[in-house]
Amino acid sequence: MVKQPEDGMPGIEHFLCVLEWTPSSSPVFAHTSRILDSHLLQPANGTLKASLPGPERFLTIAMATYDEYDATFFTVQSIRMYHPEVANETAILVLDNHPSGPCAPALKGLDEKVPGYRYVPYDRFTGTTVRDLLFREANSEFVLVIDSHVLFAPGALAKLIAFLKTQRHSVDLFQGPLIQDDLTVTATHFDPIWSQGMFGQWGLDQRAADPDAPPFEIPMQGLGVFACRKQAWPGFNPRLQGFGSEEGYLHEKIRRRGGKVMCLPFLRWLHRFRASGEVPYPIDWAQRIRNYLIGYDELGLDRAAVLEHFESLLGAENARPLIEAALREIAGPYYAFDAIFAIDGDPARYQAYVGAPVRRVAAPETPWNSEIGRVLAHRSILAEATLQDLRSILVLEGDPVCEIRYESADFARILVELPDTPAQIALWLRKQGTRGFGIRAFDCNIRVATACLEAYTILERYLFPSLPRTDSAADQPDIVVRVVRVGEQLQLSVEDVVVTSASRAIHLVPALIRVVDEAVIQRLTGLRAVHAGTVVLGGRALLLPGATHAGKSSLVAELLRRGATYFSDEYALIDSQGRVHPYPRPLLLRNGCPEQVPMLAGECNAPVGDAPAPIGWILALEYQPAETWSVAAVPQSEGLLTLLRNTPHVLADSPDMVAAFQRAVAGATCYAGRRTEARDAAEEIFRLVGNPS
Amino acid sequence: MQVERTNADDLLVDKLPDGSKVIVDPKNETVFALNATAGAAWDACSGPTTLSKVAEDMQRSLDPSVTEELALESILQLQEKNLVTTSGSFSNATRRQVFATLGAVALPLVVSLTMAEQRAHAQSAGSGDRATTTPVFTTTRRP
Repeated sequence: MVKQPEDGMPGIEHFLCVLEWTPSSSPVFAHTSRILDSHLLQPANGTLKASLPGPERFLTIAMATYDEYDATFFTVQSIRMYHPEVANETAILVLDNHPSGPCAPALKGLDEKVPGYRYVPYDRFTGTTVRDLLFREANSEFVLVIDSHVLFAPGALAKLIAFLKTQRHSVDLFQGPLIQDDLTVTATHFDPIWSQGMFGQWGLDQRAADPDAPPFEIPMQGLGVFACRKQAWPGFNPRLQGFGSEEGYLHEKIRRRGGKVMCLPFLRWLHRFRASGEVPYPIDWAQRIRNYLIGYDELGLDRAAVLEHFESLLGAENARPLIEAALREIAGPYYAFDAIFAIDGDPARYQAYVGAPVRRVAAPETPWNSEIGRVLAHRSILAEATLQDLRSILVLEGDPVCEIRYESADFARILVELPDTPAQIALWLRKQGTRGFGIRAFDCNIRVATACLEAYTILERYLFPSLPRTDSAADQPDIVVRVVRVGEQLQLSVEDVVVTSASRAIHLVPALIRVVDEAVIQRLTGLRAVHAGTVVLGGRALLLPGATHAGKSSLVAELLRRGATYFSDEYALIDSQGRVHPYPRPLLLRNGCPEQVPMLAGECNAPVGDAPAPIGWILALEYQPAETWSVAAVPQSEGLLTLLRNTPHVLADSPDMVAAFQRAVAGATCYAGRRTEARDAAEEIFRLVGNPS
Repeated sequence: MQVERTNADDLLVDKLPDGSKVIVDPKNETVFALNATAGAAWDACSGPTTLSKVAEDMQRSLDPSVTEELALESILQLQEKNLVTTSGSFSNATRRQVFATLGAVALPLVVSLTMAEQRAHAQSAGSGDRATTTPVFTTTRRP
């Protein structure tokens, strides 16, 4: 049902028609878009927006806060009142980790009163590592991160700025002495000792007694105050959530990048500890242990110290289940993702699904078409992934849960492709039915069109991922692939013939690939296809001819994991010179299930070939799980017959095929025989062909 | 025993670097793959010849250890595929005898593929298993 805008205005469809026929650079387009935006996007109750970034300053003084208005207020205002000399060189950034909380409006309101103050709400996860975002959001050369309840000694900030100006290429982390309530220095560093669920115990180095003493190196410190050049910020592991574990971990990362952790005696800071000594949040030991184990895993440290401390602190019977859960997550398949985002729904359900904490994302409400909200949600996720320099992320949504993966190589391209306002997204969705992306796959022009974001993302990801996308309007398509939503199902059609339907776009991929393969292979002119898994080892192609169901893909995947370059799990394309060209479709794996699932070569850390290669080996292997590896050399002429038996081209129609295949086998060593499971077979193959790399 | 090639003029013959041979018989629509041993026997039959002459030629071109039994096995394989015809009598060497005289030389091997067989393979070698793994496959056309 099309919802009519109120106030007697024309319907949304009418507005979209206006936009469709109006140049996007015209004032009419901008005006109509704005009107439409206000009707498409339901105003979110109480959602606060980030302040716009201010002008670039030398230093950003940044803090994350959670339901703590008073302390933040005094921290910010003390800087303004007692350090006015740094006002022109500093900006203040406050990241509110509970923007739906009671303090949020007041924290946000400060941006109208405090020059240089910027408010950024963030609630996708909670914890001390949200401070990573402070570095990402800051537009300054250096960033000083502080707790939101810290005061500085007079002149300390001016001295810091003067000092940092001598450190323009620094990769160091700078901290200062902690002063206690009587304003004397009480601590300068952490000694690397485990104590009460934390790594690091305050220690005092007398070299800090004189505020004018030179900087000195320390092993580590608490993270109430620390400064670093923005470009040198090593980042927190994006999987960390909750509280604890950054101390020591961050310092070690700094050192591994060639930096030092320096105590600046003049940078004296006073921390407001709560009177009763309690912390305002419950200690979650599971989270704490998880964080330490993730940090140790990242740095390749021996985790025995973590296990020993927490088993001793909590008792082995209490600690072990928490430790095992964390180790399970680290060893699990979802750990490969830097971050897992969950759109709408119960985060606990998603967390149970992946066995790891997720970042919660609320899709903006767009009642006229919920897809608009989903596009906005995906956009914001990709923007966050780009901001945090994440490499691989997973987006979960829906019930049953749908998984969408994005790699860093996709982020920028998709952000450019996806419009960013509700009206333009509505227009984009409307056009998806007739305009999508195009791919030139050898001699076949493929056009892809869908109005469904999930399907668009999946098709974009899995349809010849390494081939460039073209403007689909530029070439006459040989085949048109469409995905439309019909009720709860996504329906895939090729040339208006329904091929399959499924509740999730990912499940359409195997059928789509098979149909597209057929179309591409039929249209080959200069190349001849052979059904063969193909990888490249040391510059020469290894062909595994065999029909579908022969287990080629599993064996190819195993070879990729051992360092081979990917050409194809299904076709070797042979040119008239006898060289093999890559046919870079995604692998389709069964993994023991009847249904295939797509996988990219990159998931095996394998490169995809982009140039033809001569054939080094042809292995015609029959999969016999109950047998043993039994392979013998066969003549090249028999290798040629193997190619002829496995090509989908009819020899009578392509008599030149024999000559091309003759050239193909002329440099190859050919084998035939039986193989067992892919893993064993891959080992035997490497033994057989030596170490070509 | 006399040996002679069949349809020799109509065949397209190519030698591969490992000594094996590909023979395309367009008239009978067949492609043959001969290993190096069978290929040497084929070469030895370039004109009408005898079994002992074939064996001698094979000793020269392939390996001095080639025996008459091996030459015979090669000729029989070629004959089985209608690539040569034989006449006269010959001692019917058993496979065991051939094995006993093999030495470093591989057993002769001639494999063939007819165009009809190839066509059948090509047609079954489409993109595979749509019918078995695609949950829904209809040919409903849009009205």
